[in-house]
Amino acid sequence: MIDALIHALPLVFAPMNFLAMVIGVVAGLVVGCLPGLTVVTGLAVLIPLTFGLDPLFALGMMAGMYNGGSYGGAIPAILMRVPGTPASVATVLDGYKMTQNGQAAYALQVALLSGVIGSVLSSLALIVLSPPLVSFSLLFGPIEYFWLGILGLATVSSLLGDDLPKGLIACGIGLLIGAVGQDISNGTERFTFGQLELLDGFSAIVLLTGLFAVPPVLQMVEEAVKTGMSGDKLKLHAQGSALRQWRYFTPVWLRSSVIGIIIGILPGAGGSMSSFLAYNEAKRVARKPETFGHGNPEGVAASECGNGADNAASLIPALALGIPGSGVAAVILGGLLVHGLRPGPQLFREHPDIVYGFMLQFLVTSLMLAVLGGLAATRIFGQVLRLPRIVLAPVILLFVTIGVYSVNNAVFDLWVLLGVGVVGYVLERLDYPSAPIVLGLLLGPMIESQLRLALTISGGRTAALVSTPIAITLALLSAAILLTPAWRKLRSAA
Amino acid sequence: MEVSGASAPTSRSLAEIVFAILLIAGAAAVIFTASGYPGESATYPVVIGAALAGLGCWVLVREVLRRLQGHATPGSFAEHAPRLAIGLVALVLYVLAVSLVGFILPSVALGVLLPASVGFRRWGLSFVVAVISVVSILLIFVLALERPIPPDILSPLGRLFR
Repeated sequence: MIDALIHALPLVFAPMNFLAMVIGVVAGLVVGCLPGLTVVTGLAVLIPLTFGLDPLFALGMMAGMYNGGSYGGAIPAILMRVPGTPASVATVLDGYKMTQNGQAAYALQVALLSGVIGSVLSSLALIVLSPPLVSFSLLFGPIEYFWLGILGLATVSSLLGDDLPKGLIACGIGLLIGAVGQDISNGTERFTFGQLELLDGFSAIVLLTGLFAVPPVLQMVEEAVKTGMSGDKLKLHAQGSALRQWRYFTPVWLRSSVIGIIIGILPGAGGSMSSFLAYNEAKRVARKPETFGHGNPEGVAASECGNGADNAASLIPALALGIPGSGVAAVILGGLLVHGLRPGPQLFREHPDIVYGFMLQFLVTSLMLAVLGGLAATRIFGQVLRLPRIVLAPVILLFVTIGVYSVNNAVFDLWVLLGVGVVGYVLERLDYPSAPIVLGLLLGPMIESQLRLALTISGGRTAALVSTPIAITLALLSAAILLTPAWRKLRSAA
Repeated sequence: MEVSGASAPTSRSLAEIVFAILLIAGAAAVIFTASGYPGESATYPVVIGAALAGLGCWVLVREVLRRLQGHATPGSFAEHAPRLAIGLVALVLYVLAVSLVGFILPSVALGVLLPASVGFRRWGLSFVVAVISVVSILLIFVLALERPIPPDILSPLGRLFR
């Protein structure tokens, strides 16, 4: 592992890859600070733009956007009481109160420093914990990979929200989209309707972009917000150093980081859950819990540190096993596949420079955030908030259009983008979650091919699917995860 | 936020039903189409289609029962239906225009006309943002990354400067 990290270092710090990380962090800050745009949207716009580029250039931008967007959400949360991302909702509680108390700059500083610390510890967890998990996955054959895919789909149950059938429908739609194209085992064309463009199935980039980038554009048009943020709110003055108070914040940072990392690793959790849990824990152990919600900087620190700590951690199961820990990780997984990088032992064996480079990029962009997201930068990037959001809607569309077109040089893809975008909008309005669609799309082909392979090897005996201890464990784990929501419901009803 | 033109409170419930019906119909079409595929290639999509049809029925029956009991899913489907329609039409026209005349002119037009069509009248700001965006995209994609853009009627102009 150490060797691989050392080999990856020069690649990470190669001028172009370094520039990619800077661009990613800056773009992430902008995306994060714009209410209505999430990191997932930013990544969905970014992935087609990076298609055909060097993998580490593309992955550096993704890592930067993830970390930058994570903190970017805190800027409007603190200044405007509008969480830029779902994960910064808990930051609003004390952050905006601090702004009202005339401590906006200090609140931003606490948020930034806490986010950086959470992200750095999370990146270290990614580097340390992924390789052992990969070694374990070397024991896997087709049967185990089939169950691993099922386990990945089972995690959907925790991404479903409150509505089980809708989550399952979203997952089914993803599985079905994944089935479009030529069946690799016998050459049968499935649902191509004579279109040559569909022979290899739908392009994952086009689908991800349509699903996550077009609905926010339509929503911006619907909302038609014609005003931006007042410039007065962005005039920030120096208000003391959060860094000098490290002794005061250290316990909060450590607790919140541990919470964020654990939540990040758990499939389906993460994001707003880790920031809220970290916030609640800080409040629970505080000497004066009654001050939380009234401008306590510990509340901002806990929320932002927990939020930052689940970023890289959510990629631990994604990189090692191909199971994303969050919706963002699912999109990044899609980004990896787009660049021909299939997560799992093969990735670590064949492309150690890329996989360890990607991990290091998470660490570097976390640290970069401290510089690029500093108070001066917050002021500069915050200026984007002054633009009316309705003006930004077409801008997003322009970038998406050109990115998607350049994947296959095909106008056909633009129509697919449009169609998927409209369907994505409808699904969003009707509260069908989008993340299960991505999981279905990514895991469906693997499940089908591994199942067929397993059955062929075993001579068609279905009993072989539960013939190894790992397979039985994965099957039981999948069942447990699927049944958990029902069990919770029963318990709360009792 | 403006409220004029907002959808009726039951539109969400209606949309739930319409979507569930479309889903069931789509799933039936999937099963029908996939049944014609040879053996193994058919099983996977047929199973998914059947599951989707079943789940669609679940959502449909649930919403119908809720309506009968007077507890239809509250809220409206669209936040502002006329503006949503404008957005959708703009998207279709934009893609159509890009396929006909290329990327540059339709993109500038979209940047100016889309905000204007929903009541944003600061033409100067819209124009400047649109032009900066298009120029940035051209600089990054065409010059720096040498990536293709849709065939454009203004391309001959670009060649003059090379």
